[in-house]
Amino acid sequence: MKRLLSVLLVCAMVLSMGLFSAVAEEAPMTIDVYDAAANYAGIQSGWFAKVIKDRFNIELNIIAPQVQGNEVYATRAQDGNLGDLIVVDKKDMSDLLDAGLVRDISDKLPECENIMKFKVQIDAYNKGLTGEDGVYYGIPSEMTDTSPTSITDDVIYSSPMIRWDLYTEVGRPQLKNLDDLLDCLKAIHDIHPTNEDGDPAYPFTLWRDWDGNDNMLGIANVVQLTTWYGEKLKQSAILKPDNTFTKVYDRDAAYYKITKFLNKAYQMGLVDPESGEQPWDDVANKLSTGRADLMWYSWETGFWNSVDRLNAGTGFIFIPVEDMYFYADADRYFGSDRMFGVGSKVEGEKYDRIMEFLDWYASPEGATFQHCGIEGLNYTVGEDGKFVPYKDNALMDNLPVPEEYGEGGYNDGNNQINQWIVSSLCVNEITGERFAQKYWQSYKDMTMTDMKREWQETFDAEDSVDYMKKHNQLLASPSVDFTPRSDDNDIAALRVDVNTQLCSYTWNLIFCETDDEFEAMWDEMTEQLNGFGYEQLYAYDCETYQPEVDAKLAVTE
Amino acid sequence: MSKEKNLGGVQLDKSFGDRVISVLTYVIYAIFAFVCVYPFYYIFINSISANNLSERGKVIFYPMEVHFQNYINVAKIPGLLNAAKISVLRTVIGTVLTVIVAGFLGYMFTRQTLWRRKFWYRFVVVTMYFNAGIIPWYLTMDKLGLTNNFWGYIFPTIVQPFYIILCKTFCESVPKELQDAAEIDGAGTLRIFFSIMLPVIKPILATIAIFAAVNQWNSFQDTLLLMTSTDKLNTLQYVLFQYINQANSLKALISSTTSSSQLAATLARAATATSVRMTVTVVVVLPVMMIYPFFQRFFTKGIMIGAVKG
Amino acid sequence: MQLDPKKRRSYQEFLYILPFILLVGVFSYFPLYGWIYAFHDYQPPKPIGPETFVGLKWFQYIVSNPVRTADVLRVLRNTFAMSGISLLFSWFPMIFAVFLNEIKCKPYQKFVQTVTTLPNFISWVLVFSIAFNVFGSNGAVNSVLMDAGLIDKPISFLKSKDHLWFKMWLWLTWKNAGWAAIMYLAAITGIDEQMIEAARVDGATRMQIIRHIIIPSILPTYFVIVMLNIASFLSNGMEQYYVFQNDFNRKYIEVLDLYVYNYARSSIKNYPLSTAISMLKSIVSVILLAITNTASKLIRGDGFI
Repeated sequence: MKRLLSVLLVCAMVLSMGLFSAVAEEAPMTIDVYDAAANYAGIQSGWFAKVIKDRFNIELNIIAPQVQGNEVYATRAQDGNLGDLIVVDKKDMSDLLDAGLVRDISDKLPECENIMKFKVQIDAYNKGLTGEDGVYYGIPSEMTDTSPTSITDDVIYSSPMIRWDLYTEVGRPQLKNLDDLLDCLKAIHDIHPTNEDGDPAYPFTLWRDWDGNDNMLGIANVVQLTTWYGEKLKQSAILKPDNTFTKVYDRDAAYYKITKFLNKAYQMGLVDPESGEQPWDDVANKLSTGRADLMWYSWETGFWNSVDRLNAGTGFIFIPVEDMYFYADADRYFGSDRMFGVGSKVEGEKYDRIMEFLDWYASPEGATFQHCGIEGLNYTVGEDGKFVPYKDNALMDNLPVPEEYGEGGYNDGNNQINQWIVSSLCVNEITGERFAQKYWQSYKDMTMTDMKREWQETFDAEDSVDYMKKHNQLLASPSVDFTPRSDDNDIAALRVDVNTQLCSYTWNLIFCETDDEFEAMWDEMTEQLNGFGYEQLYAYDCETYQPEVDAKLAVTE
Repeated sequence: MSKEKNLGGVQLDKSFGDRVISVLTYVIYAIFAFVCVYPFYYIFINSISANNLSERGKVIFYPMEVHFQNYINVAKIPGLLNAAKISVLRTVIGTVLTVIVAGFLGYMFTRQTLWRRKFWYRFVVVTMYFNAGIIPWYLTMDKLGLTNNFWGYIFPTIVQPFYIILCKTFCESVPKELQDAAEIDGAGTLRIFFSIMLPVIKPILATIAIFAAVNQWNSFQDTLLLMTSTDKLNTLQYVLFQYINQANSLKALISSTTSSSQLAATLARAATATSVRMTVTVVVVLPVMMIYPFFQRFFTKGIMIGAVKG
Repeated sequence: MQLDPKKRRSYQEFLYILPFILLVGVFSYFPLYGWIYAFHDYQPPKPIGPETFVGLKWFQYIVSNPVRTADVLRVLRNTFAMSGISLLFSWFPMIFAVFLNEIKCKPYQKFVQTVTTLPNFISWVLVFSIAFNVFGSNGAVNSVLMDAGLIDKPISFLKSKDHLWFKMWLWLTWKNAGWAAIMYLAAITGIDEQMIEAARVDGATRMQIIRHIIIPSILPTYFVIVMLNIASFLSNGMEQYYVFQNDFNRKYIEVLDLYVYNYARSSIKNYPLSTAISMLKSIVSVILLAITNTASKLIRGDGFI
């Protein structure tokens, strides 16, 4: 009865809505996108929706486990239909294949010219998946057109960066090791205890929001800095420069070194007391108001280094420390950790349109929309056909899009798939330059400043990567086709235990008042981690990542 | 002994003790009220102050560099109007059904004549403590055809044990003679409920109405999990949740894609997750506060049971 | 054959409630089949089956080694502490309502009543961001204290574990008291005013009226709420603790719901574990409900369910 009533009412509702749309034109085909990368759930709207509707007459309905919860994965899998277009972590792919949730796309993929520019990578990936040649199930994401060993970036993901004017003011000291770096920062803190508004500034302002992310256990701020000494966390294990693994609590490894470094900074009064209690939002705010004197992620500089500040010489820039040996991932030639696939229930017309869409997605036009935005809004085209940055605030200020793209703000209509096939490092056939703005000549001209020239003279290098290469301080880890296996239930639970303990202890270690306390707590941590079963997790992770290490060795040899 | 007089509804307290209590009561409630009002005031002034000042925690006592951009941005969210319509619909329909059912079941469970009354009451009450998990819940809703269906908002919320308990407790406090008299007149169960009990239990129904309405008004989780193939059933809270979520992920986006040098300058002006959240809070609470006095009458002004009893 | 009228009425009344019993069956009982996930190594997208059955593994997991058991006991200690404090002060909203009712200036009463419900509408995330701006190490309170020279180092209110349980209770009360008081206000409205009038004529003071008429009248509501709270002793919810937790106070703030959430959030593979714990919680709650009901029968002569 109730059911009947509900059916009737829904019919009425659907009918009344249908009336309006039926008059207009052929309704767009809805593509369900199961998207592990999306931060938005629902129908794609705005300018990007218009772009794809005009071309393929489709609309995207995005299902986002990051928003809707992990359970949505289980419930949809149970229905036997994850989605029409699937964007998932590579490590889940073999499970999906076993469950028959992904479609074989071998018939259509070879015809997709734009995607097949990455044939080497796609072949390697699918061969690893099925063991057969010419059988295609998935397309890796964010592949580059460079090589597995090249580093295109002029700055690596993590390195110490200090404001040039402050560094100059304390006499541009030569830094031999972490202790020198602390002394330098101490000197900076003494002359720069607050920002211009009088709010306290510290060299170190830390946050906890990202702890345990990116396949690395432990607190994000520490695990990133381990790369300064050539060591990289693979989940619970540390990969050393000699390609062997060691335990995270090993006192000879970088996790200890960096934790100790931060503790020393704390004891010297260089750590923001709000570290560890502040959410990331507040950190972002501090970065953009000059309340942090040291930055260590390359993208962090975006919060401060405006053109004006670069011209005034107050921008953040890499300052070398002699004993460092930087671990850096090479260009992700084989792509990132996610992949695109097509759902097993997709047939006929829908299948055609999805493949057409994907090929366009990887085309110069499609990739330009993703990486450069809209002409006349985000960039203009110069006389030489190359792009010139235009309204940089289109995203942040949600600027209205040009009329031909419909209504709404730029950010509202931004592509919600949030994952691309073509990396922004690839060369755009339209311009002959890379997609990413920072490689445009026009952008380089805009940002060439006295500060940069001064830096180049001081350190006798083109940029930070150039400096590292010259001084043999760079360990480039080649890109390989590797997918870690997915955890079983026991390991998944154990991982939570170990990560929670590790993070908790590390934070408290950083805030130890004395060295003795620090050492005692480190012992306690070791004991606790082992008590929870760290050894088991460590063994599992070593076994998981050994193939990756072997593959990398094969490339470099 | 002092006799009190009722002068136009205002009580004159003569006893010294009473007066001390009066004064204390006024002061303590004033403090409590301040503690409750201030954060909301704080949220409001921050939502209309320059976002960069508000982010830095500079806006504490009065608004600074007043602007309404945050509100304009919220008003511009696509699909806002339809979402508001759905929210109002689910709130009204859901609340009416929940309240009537709670009142009715609450009353029925006080009736000694009901077949296996205790068993069924317990059958309903223990479900308060059940938590089956999201997966079976979703699959159940799916089997019933309640996914991507407006009634998915309504049916699961109709029987709410807690409200039924509240109603039952209230019904028990109603003098027995009231029902007995009707019973002797030969009135049926339903008639007793509708014509005699319903008017008497209004205060508790108003309370439940407030609770149920606010729950309906505030929920977005069900939209998130159940209404995945349509955006016609989005609720206001869901749309606003997405909006906040977007603002949050904007910050995350910075880490991955941007290389813009003017970012810092624009970041200061851009709506931030916190200011967005504050604006949304004001937008959501205002309608509730506007209809609140309507319900408030029922539970702050006593209805004269004596008068009903006659 | 005729049923005797009494029986007939009794069945008839049951028919009235039957539709709602069915709703409860469908929406609350039927989904309980999902508890079987607690007995499997569930790895979506693979469905569960005989080969994934692991028996009581996930129930034993929490006591599978001494360190983890100690950890779970710590979590339970926090849960008991938070629930215990809440229970201990559960009379607060009632007293709040009683004295609010005593305010004779109606506009003031309505004002207080309205504004004290406001915090209920502020999400915990926002509560924390206000708390951070007011009580953070660089927040308003610390600035004032520092400027006044009362302290020379900021007090980390949010990091410190001192009085943490009580502070959490304060936040919770601030957020909920006004809202919960509505129930008692409704109960007070149900009191026969003639009774109060009569007492007043007899010269009863205000406190006497409160003690002898008002409180006894709303006590049944209070009792029911206390009983229900006892039964949900293990459920504190997680939002509040989630926003206030950091790695310095985690040992004291982590309650069972938050503990489970940490697993569930991390990976869908932990679904069996979280299902096992929530199943245990449901069972404990129902047992507690039975116990309190029996206790209530013994003490008050009447059970509440």
